[in-house]
Amino acid sequence: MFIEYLPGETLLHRLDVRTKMLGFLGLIIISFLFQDPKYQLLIVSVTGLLAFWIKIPLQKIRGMLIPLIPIIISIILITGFTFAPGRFDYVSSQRILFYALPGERLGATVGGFMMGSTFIFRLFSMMIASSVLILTTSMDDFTQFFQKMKMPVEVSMMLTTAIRFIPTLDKKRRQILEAQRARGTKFNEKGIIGSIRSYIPIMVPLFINSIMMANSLSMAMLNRGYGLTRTWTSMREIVFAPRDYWVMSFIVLLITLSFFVRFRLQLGVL
Amino acid sequence: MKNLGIEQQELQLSAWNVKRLSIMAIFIALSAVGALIKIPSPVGSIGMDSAPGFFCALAFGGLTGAIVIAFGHLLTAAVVGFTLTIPVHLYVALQMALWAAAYRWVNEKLGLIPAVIVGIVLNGVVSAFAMLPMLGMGGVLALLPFLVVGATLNVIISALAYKAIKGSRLI
Amino acid sequence: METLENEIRQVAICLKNLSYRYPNTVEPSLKNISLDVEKGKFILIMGSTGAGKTTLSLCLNGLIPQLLEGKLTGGVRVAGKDVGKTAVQSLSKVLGLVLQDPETQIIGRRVEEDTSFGPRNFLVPLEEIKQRVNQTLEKVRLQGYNHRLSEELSGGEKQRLAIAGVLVMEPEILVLDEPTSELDPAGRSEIYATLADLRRKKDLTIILVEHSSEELIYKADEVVVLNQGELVWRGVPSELFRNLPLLRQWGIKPLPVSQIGWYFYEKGWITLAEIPLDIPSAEGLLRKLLPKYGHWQGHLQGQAQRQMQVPVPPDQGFGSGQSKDGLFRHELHLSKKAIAVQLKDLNYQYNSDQTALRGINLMIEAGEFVALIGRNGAGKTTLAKHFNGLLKPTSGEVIIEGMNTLKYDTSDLSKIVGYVFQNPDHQIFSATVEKELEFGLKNAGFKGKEIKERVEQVLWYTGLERYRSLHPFSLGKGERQMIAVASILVLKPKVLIIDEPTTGSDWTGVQTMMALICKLHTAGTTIIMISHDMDLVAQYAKRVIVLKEGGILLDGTPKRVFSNEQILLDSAIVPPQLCRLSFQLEDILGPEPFIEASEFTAMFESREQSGCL
Ligand SMILES: Nc1ncnc2c1ncn2[C@@H]1O[C@H](COP(=O)(O)OP(=O)(O)OP(=O)(O)O)[C@@H](O)[C@H]1O
Ligand SMILES: Nc1ncnc2c1ncn2[C@@H]1O[C@H](COP(=O)(O)OP(=O)(O)OP(=O)(O)O)[C@@H](O)[C@H]1O
Ligand SMILES: [Mg+2]
Ligand SMILES: [Mg+2]
Repeated sequence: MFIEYLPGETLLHRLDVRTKMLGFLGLIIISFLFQDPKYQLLIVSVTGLLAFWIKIPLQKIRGMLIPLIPIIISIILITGFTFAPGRFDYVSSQRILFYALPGERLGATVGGFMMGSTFIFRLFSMMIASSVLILTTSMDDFTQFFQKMKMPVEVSMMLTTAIRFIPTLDKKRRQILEAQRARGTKFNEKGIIGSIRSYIPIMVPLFINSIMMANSLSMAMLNRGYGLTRTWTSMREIVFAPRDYWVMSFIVLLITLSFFVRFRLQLGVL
Repeated sequence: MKNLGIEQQELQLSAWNVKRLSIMAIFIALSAVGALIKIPSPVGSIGMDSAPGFFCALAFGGLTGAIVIAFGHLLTAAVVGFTLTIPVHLYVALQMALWAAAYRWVNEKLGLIPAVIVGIVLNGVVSAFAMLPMLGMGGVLALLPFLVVGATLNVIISALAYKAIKGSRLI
Repeated sequence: METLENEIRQVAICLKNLSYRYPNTVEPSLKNISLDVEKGKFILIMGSTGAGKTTLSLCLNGLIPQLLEGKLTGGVRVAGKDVGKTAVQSLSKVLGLVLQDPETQIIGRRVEEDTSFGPRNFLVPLEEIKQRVNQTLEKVRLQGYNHRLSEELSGGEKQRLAIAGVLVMEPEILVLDEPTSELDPAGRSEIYATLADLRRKKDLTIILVEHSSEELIYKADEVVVLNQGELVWRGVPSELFRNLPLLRQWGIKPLPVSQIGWYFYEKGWITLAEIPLDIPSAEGLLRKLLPKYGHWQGHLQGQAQRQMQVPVPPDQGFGSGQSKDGLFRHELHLSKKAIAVQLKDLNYQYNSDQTALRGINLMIEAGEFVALIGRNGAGKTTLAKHFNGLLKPTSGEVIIEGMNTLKYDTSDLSKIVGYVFQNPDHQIFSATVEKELEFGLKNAGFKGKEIKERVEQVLWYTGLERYRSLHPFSLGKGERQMIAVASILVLKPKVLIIDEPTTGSDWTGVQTMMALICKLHTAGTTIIMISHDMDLVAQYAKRVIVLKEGGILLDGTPKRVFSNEQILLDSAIVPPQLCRLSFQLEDILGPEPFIEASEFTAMFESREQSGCL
């Protein structure tokens, strides 16, 4: 599971959550400015360096990437074939490599494949950046961030509780799976009907247990005074430190620079 | 039975509201866990991430279902790192919320079987075409079978589970 | 005026004609309960499952009727406040309720976060919260755990954290609903010790709902017995526990030593008040009565006699089964020594590099009745999951009825090995009891008539017939446990594994369950039972295996195993009360302990048959 804080003492850990959110937003903007995969590669490398800095366990990255391989391949192929030549500014990008169907239909463009790579790199940097963000920010910080953004307290309570209960429910899922396997349930039945038949014994107990869990959770929350007032004591009031101002200025500078490069110099398009 | 008229001014959240909140929290978490349950299908494995939301819509009301399914989608996406980027996920979450509410509404008006059909059409076909601006026709067609099968499994399982649990005193 | 106020302050809880009916039910769950609890008292609430104990505790802090609807009449006052007119959240400052399942009561991800949840809702300033959290964690012996993830705590630690979460709000009254049901004996004593501590230091009023009683008899000031929603008895614990017929009537487990005492009382040798409730008084009594009435020939001869006793072969008593019992009778074991389970150098590691089992060599013959015991986290469940292939050995081999689990899937093994999990709610999913039982048979590939017959037999066998077309979740937990067992029994397993089958059941439920297991055992099924209830283990198992830190510590007959009191204590196990009694009487009885009341009473009469068979 990704939603876990990775303890550490790096600058990224100590930055204010709002600064990090700004950085994340900046990254999204920059990444959407550019279509050229070279620029995207640069962004991926930067996020990769950040990940390296906070010492993300390598296994995590691998675990994150492997399930995506089919998506990656299909995105590259689909964009390769579906981006009509007219959508590109540069002639080099409009060149058609080959046609998938006879009669010059469904042509694969160079730009299409480059666009596909851009999508992939964009996806990578997004994934890496969100893991970095999540791993270096504690739950309490996120809650405070939601509060500062004027999100209703109920919503942030609901989300933090949901996150807290993911491991508990995952354990339930495993236990239910074991209990049904021990009764001889087979999970390799064919077809949609077969799949439904073999997964109903998992999903129904999961729902039932969740309802029971929710019932006792509501009791536990009431028992401990939840809902008496709409606010609560913050464990740690978040405040900007000088480093936050420095980093924020840097981020803003970077965004401006990117806009300059993209719109004044007209670089990074296909 | 809301609030019982007790100490209205002091109390901000009634017991009933806390219960709703904890149901939503648990089922949102369940959506994230459901994504880990991979059901094999002809178009690749399908996660059970929207079944909890659809189930909530039937069992606890359209609004609850809509909230669960939307936040469930966002949380699931967050767990794998917002694969399709945050704006797209927000767009999808909003759609899902609408579908869950519609599912509940049709169930109330016409019964469970029409609701299942509507749910599958909305979440499978309409959702695929809703991606037209982003992926183009090719993308939509590539997405369609995957979404239809996913919607079929999630919606039918939620309906069957609802039928199985309705007879107990849990809901 | 002041005296009046004082009087109100002295009464912590005051119930007046309280009745309550859950929505969608016909019968009220609480009927006309009136009860006053003085401040600073320790009250024990007992009663069979479904008696209304949980319902009563929910009424005390207003969850009924504020969260659960239904029909409530009568008055509840807690510390002078009318519960009907005060929000649950405000009441929690006065009355802390710890619920049955610790898992869902832990709201925070980390220990500190969880403990501070309550005070934060009351807007207690941060500095004070920190101070209170640390104080409270120390009280429940979790000091230094502040930053641990609550998900990674052990069962006992979770339980104590749940108590801490309530204590930190500094309530005057603490209500606990079965806080120790899944703990090993040592963990249980620790919780009780914590409670006794709190009461002494903070003058808390404590109300404890609990099924087991041995350690609580002298800690509690008073017992309140509920039966089918009515308050049927209240008074000092010792009085209740000397009255065995009453206990039996209400489904409460009697103390083993009192069973011996009751025998003497029936014989007219002692008065009711002389029935012993602890080991020293039982020892004194036996020493006094033995010379007078005993037929005991002196320990030398007795010892010789007992050593000659061969262990009873499991198939004895076979012929006595009724016609329908034939269901579970397997082909007569021609080779008496068929091996059911064989483990060779079994090692197992969870992904997290944590070695859960190390170097286990074990052989279990067909038809044995084995108990696996050990502290929480010793590896019992991990070991048992190897028997049906849910876990595959990291190294070594597991051979079940000649099948190597590495080569077979769990679904194949499920026809031979039945596994009943601790929590029945993990497997029940059908809309009726009958359909639930059919499920396993359909998986195993049986067809129409055969399914019907087997289901019919098992329904009869387990006494679930009258619930056949009801929804399993409209039944109580005890019945659901029975359904879980029944759904495994239809598969006619040769080996039956039961992981803590009786947690949270009342005494009657335990007896029913054990009678069923005994019946199966008699019919030749190999039984492997995991339990924290040493009285049960001593009474029913023929062989006891003690696990410690993933290895086998002791293996032998219950008598042999339980005579190693010191070794067991290291493993958080307290031998059954009667065992400990016979250690005290070692000079008379010899080194091998007695484990059943009938063995003691047998010293006073001609021999009698006893036990499972
Ligand atoms: N939510 C509910 N809806 C309807 N009936 C209920 C509900 N909860 C409990 N009951 C019924 O109320 C009665 C009392 O239940 P309660 O849980 O208080 O028993 P208990 O004494 O705590 O038992 P146990 O020892 O099993 O915990 C039972 O008959 C039970 O079936
Ligand atoms: N899924 C798991 N992943 C990692 N470690 C585990 C897992 N399940 C159990 N363990 C660890 O393995 C050890 C043995 O656990 P096991 O559940 O077998 O104990 P047990 O003897 O059954 O305890 P209890 O009496 O509490 O049921 C414990 O230290 C436990 O923390
Ligand atoms: Mg109870
Ligand atoms: Mg266990």
